[in-house]
Amino acid sequence: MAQKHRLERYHGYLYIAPWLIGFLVLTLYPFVTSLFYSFTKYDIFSWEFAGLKNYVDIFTKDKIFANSLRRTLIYTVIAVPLKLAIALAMATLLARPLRGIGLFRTVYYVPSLLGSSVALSIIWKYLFKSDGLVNMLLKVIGVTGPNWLGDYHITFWTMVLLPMWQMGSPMVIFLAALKTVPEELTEAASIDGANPIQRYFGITLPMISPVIFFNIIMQTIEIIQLFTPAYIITKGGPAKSTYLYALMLYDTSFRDFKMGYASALSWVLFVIIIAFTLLLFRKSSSWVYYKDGEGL
Amino acid sequence: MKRVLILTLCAVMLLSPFSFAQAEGTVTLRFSWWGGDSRAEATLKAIELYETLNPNVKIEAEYSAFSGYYQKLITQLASGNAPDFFQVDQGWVAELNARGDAFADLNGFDAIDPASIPQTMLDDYCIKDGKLVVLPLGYNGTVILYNKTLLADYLDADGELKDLTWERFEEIGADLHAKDPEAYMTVAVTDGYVRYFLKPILEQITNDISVKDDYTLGFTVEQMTQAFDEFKKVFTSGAAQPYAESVVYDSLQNNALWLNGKIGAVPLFFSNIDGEIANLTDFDWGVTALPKMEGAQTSGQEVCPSLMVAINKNVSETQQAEAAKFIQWMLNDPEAVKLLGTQRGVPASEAALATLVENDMLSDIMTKAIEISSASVGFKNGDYEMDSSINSIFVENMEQVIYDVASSADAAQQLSDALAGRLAEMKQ
Amino acid sequence: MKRRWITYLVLTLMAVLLGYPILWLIFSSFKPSAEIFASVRLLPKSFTFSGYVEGWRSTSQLPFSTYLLNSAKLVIPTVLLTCVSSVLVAYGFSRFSFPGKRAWFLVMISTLMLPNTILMIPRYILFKNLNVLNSYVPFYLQAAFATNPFFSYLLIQFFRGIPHELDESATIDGCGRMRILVSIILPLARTPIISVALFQTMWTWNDFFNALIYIDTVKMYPVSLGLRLAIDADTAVNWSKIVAMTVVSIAPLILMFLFLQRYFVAGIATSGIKG
Repeated sequence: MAQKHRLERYHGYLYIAPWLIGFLVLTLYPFVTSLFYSFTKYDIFSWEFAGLKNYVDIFTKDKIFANSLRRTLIYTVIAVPLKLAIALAMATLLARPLRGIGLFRTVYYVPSLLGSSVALSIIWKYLFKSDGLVNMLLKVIGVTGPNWLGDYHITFWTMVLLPMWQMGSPMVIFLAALKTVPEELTEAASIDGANPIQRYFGITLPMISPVIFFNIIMQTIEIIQLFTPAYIITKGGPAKSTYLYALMLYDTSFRDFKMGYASALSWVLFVIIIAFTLLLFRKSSSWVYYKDGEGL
Repeated sequence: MKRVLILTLCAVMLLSPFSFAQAEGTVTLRFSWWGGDSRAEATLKAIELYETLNPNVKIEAEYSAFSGYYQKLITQLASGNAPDFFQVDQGWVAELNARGDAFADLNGFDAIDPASIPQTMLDDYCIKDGKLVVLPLGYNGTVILYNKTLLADYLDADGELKDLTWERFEEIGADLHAKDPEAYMTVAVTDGYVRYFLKPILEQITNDISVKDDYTLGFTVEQMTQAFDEFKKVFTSGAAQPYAESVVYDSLQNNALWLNGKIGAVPLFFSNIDGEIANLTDFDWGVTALPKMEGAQTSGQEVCPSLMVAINKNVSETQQAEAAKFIQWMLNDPEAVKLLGTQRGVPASEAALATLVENDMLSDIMTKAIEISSASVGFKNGDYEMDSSINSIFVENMEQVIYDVASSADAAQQLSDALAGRLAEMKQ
Repeated sequence: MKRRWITYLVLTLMAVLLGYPILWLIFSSFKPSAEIFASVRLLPKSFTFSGYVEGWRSTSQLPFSTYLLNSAKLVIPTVLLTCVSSVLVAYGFSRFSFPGKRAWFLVMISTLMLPNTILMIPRYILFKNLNVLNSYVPFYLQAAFATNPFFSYLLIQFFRGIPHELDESATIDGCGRMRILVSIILPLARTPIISVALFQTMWTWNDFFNALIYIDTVKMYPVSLGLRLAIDADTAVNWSKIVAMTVVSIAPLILMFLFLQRYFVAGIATSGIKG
């Protein structure tokens, strides 16, 4: 009986086994090798040990690193909250059982379906080239629009708009979450005299706070590593203004063959993301409510 | 229990025999290249013909778009899974040869006879450390393609635009743009400005290539400053479409001005001429040499193998020998040449070129371009000049000059420093 | 009544803002290549179907349908395996307490944080040693082993919102843990599971880099690779064909979403969850 009870404690492992095995067999090896290579001079074909040189160089010599990291962090800090705010607002609108709402949901989601295909670049240039649609519309109301993708002061901000247009995934997750908020609760509050805005912020949002938290974590991780949009639309330009971290990593490894150095750059980013995430987790206990009463 | 099962499964997969059974005597070769639809179509037809002629050989085509090709090739080479023979770009050869150790010595195959390829081309581009590491499938050269209809006012008595100087080029540009505010003399894509404007100007000043094969620079900071100053005039004179407007286009085919016939003259590789003007049938077209600086000894025009093919040294000898036979066939056999046309540039092999001319497969404008290109005096591309990390340093500093972030002198200094730094890394 | 009218107005405004570029893309697929870039007009001067005709014929003996079919072969098993594995893992993390749970959870999340660029070559070598290159097996394996923690974590968040009292009363009724998962959790978590399927479908369908690296034979190319075959730096690109085939390749995804979106209606089917 005691034996069975001890085993019972490990019952959960049976269910997480798929991931655990996958981690040990498929994920751990690439992780460990990349950590190892970050201490070497490795050009994809051969390596030699380099100690801490890569890390020292990153922080003392590399000007591109500092620039890319700064731009990437600014991009993340601005794009994540905006993307999520729009996704949540749209989901709230779309959660209602109105006639024809399905069509609206689909239209809002389609930009995300494009992923990062070449069509994305065609569309973005059609909208934002200097004689593109946006500037033509601005002209109608008498405004001369800027050169959205050619002026290196502005291109970065034009690219910030992209995640907002492609906010379908967090929107759908919010939609799924809003569905789990029991109507009885909001009705009860309504009887107690709460107005719709109070009900939304007082009941609905706390009820879906675990999912809001999930979206914040996942979008931060995703956007800080954003690669394809910049790669496909601006190639990091003009004048390196959209040279985001992931693009720099790609060039360092596959253009310059500095795989060891790129590994070190990756682990630096890893530490930054971990720090961000732990901070978010720590802060989360004050506003995220789990029904099972546990933390995390 | 489940875990044990899955682990066993993985172990079985790990240990399972590597190669699969093959019909007796049949050789299957993997051949990878990048390129568009028409190249794929022509190449597949050639492969089909070869397979009919050689029933013991089967060729698996692995073609893709250019984007990502190099990255995949490197991944494959690094893990010993590269195709038996593959297309490479001229800019990769030196680096891949030095680091990857991937190329078989093509002189070692009985089947391969490079005699039909001009010796200078072999010396300049194909022989590394005494080994013949690649063979050119085609060659290409830079020329200026110009719109005779738009530039009608500026043509000479023969109706042509000849012996351009940069000064004249910019003069025409300024005048053209003043008369028709929508029109510009020229435009290029980002890399194009380095390759067709900045570097030719620099070569015309220095009478040398920019990055030499011994990892040193072919120019001084003063010369580079002068080159940047000259280069900038292309924009300040109003000859080129403003950079900030054209930078969004990856190719001429996306640029509304080009598509509407509002661009006077573009530098390009001659094998692209037919494609670029295919939809612009309302206009008359001519070709001419790149503009020159006063007193320049060299044209700054490139004449180089466009696409090359290499055999993977790490596959079995039978595979290598069969790949060699196919490559030789593809290079010289009249039937193959007719099928492949100019899909990989103008054939580097003289025999192949003769076949194309005999069969009337070159357009008049292309023939003219080849003549101009052959007549030009220029340098070979340096081994490292076309390396993409070197190229990106040029682009970065060129943009600083164009956007006025840095003065010509500052940019020239930064460029020299950055190149020296990168070359030192590559030398190791 | 008036409020509903305002809602529709806002919905329509947003739909125009978000949807217009897509509408332009769809109309552009009926334009000749030059017109796509040379004019800002929405409607084509005259409709041409050549982009569709040529694009469908595609290159060299392989019609575009080959790529669509390949994508289906790639995506369907990947999605099913992802759903099964992520449900199991999420159940383990959300309904059991076991030693090391918190640590393993953090390890799981952290596997998302190392950039893919750096993992690509070691992972490629791993799959080479497993002898599964040039097939869809790398995708299936990663799905079966829940390698992407996005899905597991998403489901964990939703499972935790399902009241424990339901499990407890079922346990009293003599249900095993697996039974509880299947008969209590799954029906209540239908929407998030559909989200998982939706995302995995979309991401795998659009995945270019992994497909490029793992698949060599053109006959096995999925849509994401097939679409780019027509693009080349050296030759003039037939954009009308690419735009037309982009529309063809996202059409199945749009239809799927249109069909699945009805599971995201609020206030229905929640009666089971009474806290």
